[in-house]
Amino acid sequence: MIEPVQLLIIHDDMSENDPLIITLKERYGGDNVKLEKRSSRGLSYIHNHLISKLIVLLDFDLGKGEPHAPEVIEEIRKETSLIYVIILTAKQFSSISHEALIKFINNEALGIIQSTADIKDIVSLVDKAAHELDTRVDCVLEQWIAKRQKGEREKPYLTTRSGETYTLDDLIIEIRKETELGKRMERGILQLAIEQLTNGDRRL
Amino acid sequence: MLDSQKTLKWRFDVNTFRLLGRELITDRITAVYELVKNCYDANAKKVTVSFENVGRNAEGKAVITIEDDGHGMSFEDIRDKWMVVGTASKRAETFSPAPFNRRYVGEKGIGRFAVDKLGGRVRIITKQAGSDKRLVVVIDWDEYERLSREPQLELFTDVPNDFHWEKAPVEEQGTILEISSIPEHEVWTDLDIRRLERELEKIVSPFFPLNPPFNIWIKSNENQEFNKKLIQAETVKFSSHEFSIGFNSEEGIQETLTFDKDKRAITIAETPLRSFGPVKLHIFYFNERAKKKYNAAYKNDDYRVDGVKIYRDGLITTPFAEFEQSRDKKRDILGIEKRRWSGAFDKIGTREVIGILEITNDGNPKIRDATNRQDFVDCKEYRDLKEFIIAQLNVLSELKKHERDVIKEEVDSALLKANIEIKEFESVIADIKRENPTLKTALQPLLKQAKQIDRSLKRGIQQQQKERQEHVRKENIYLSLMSLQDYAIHISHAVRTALGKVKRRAEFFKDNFPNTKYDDLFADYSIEIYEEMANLNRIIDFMLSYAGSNIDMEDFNVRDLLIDLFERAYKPEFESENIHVQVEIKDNFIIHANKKFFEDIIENLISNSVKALRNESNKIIKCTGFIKNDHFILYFSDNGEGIAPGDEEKIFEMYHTTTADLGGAGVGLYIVKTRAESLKGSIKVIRSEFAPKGATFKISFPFNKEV
Repeated sequence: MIEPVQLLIIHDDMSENDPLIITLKERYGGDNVKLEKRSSRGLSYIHNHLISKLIVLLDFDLGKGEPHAPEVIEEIRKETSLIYVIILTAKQFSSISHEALIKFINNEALGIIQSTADIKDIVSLVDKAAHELDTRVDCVLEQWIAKRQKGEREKPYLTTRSGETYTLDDLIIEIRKETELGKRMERGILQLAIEQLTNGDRRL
Repeated sequence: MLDSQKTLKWRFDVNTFRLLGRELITDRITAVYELVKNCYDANAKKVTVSFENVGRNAEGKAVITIEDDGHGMSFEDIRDKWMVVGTASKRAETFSPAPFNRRYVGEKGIGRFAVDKLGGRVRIITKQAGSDKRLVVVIDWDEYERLSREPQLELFTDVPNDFHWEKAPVEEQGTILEISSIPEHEVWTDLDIRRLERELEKIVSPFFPLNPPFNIWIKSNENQEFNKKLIQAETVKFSSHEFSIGFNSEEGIQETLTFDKDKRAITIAETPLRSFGPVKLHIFYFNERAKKKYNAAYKNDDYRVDGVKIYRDGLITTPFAEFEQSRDKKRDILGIEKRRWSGAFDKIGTREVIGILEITNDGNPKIRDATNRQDFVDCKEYRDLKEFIIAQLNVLSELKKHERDVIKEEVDSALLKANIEIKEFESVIADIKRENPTLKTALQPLLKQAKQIDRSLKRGIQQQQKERQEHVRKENIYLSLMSLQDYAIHISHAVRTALGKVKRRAEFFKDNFPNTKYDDLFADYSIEIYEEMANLNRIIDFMLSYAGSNIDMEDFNVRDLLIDLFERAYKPEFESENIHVQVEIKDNFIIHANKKFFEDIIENLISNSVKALRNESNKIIKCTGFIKNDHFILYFSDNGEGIAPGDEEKIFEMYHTTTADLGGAGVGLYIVKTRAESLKGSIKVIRSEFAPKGATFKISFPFNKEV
């Protein structure tokens, strides 16, 4: 089965029955939407789900003693650049410090949205993130692998020059962890796809 | 015809040199400073900045020389690094090799253009140890200037610069920049050179000498004072107090300043090491008297008394290493002046202290320079460090307040003494008059005058008391306004959060109603919307309490007020909730404070406890009060569900709530805290009287009989 998109909401002042959460659960499945009130716990959840297709909705102020959004996103980026982060805030945009904005941009926040925004606007940002997750090489590869038999997925698929072998499942993990091999694979797949596309044979 | 494969390249007009040099570096002092920093990066142990004939009668013979004994440059260094714009940022290492281990300070790779700010022509004479010749390069900025005025396009990168080799002893090493063609109007006065000296003396910490050293000398052939003068930070003079704190890494101890109320002096306490790592701080404080003395001696030039600076491994850290002539433009990256009302109400401002904070690269790895060199990288550790520094200044504030109180007492007793002495004088005159009736006429005017002085003195004392009261009243208003600023920030955040919640619920109704699938949610949401609106109402009431006459102070009996609240106002609620109340207020006294604020505190604590007791069968609320030293202490406890460990501070934040299901908006304890602070008091959670159950708050108010 293809792994569904997971949503993590880190917000210290939102309840499980909040309409935003209900709406997201309707859309992405009840098991795939998780609320975490403490950002430190949110971070450890992320740490344990580095290879999931994860979108994080992140509140700005997370209470005393807990890392706030600029630090949380920085921590996330230390581990992976594959998780999409959307910032939610009750702050006036003009009162957000430049340092925080710089951190958001440099750490590739996908979007920033006011907490008084319409649910549908927040959801459309989440959809955008989900779409990007779905069209990424690792995700497309995963969809392709998902169609194979289990035995086939676990067979050695590629052997590197140094003699290490990788199954298809291993390769996805390599790509998600952005290892050298993973990055090389990703580039290779894209090149190959484009070659195929421009190869005269225009059937997709 | 259109070609598909053509490219365009950037080129630099010869004018570029102006952009990089004289227009980027705004000040001649900064220019020299930048060049000296380059010597530091070249591992120099000695730098000499010489000024020759730079005074008023220079007649075009002025020369500025900056000479160091650093590692010098090879031809390749000059060609491929020094003469390539922006190269320093590509440097791979952050530290120079042992034994220097210096952190490179030049990062932008443009400091070298600073020479253009100083003069039209520069001769670079540089040599590395081991080579038998030195390289001489001449850059004639005047020629660039001339070319830039020519009508035809001339490129910056096309202007040739001459070089040649000279024989030299093998062991010689270092670089000399010889700057000439200094415009005649660009005179360096003694004052300019002294200003440079002051800036250069800040580069290395006075308490943590570099090893190997980095000594800077200034030489001038026109001023005897600078007949080869070693630049050293002048000993700090005239400060009234000096404190030094350190640490012990092995035992995990960080020293910190505290104000000992009994000893009425600052002492040093040992605390655990902080997140930012061990630091040393040397701090000089100038009280009013010291500041006066200082200003008299330095003719009101207080450039040195400029707050706290941070040195890493003995060298000033980059945010502070830039010259800014205007005091008010100096960056206050530690936020000392940004604290609201700095300098007022006994708070310490940057003009009252000189602080040298020592960090090391190994001991404080999280305190890193931001890439733009305007600040440090914002992180928890840096924020903790800032808080630590502010905490030390707050201790000085206590000292400042104490000293003011002492002066007040001295003035009071002097006035009182004068009053008594006048009385004595009067009675002596009266005695003389009695004994020598003949002197009556002669003594009459004296007696009259004494009486007049006595009256004036009394009036003076009265007036002084009145003014002091007025001062306290004003200070209270200011304090209320100050907290109002904080509230405005919190409240707008709170209102927006509440609106967001209400709006999302309303939106859900709009999009989904009716739908039997969501009936439960609809029911929940309608209650939540109602409660959220009630909370908004409460927040607005709280905000409005600052409008109008509520900030006035009045006299009231604390015991009566508490008993009135517990035994009358809240009695029906306690009875209906079946709560047993114990109120024990030992002392009976009157304080002068804002009664409404006091009531707010108690009311919110009660309502908080009522919620915490909802699942308890034997419900108790207990309130104990007594006077201890100069404080009124109140313990407020219940045996309810208590506070989760780790939440002891969080509960006072706006919108932190554990009773959302009961309509708790997380505003109550926020009000309690801010109200207590408005009354100059404090509140904290201590171990519950009913442990393992329940919660106990300790509230403490200053009990100042004078007020």
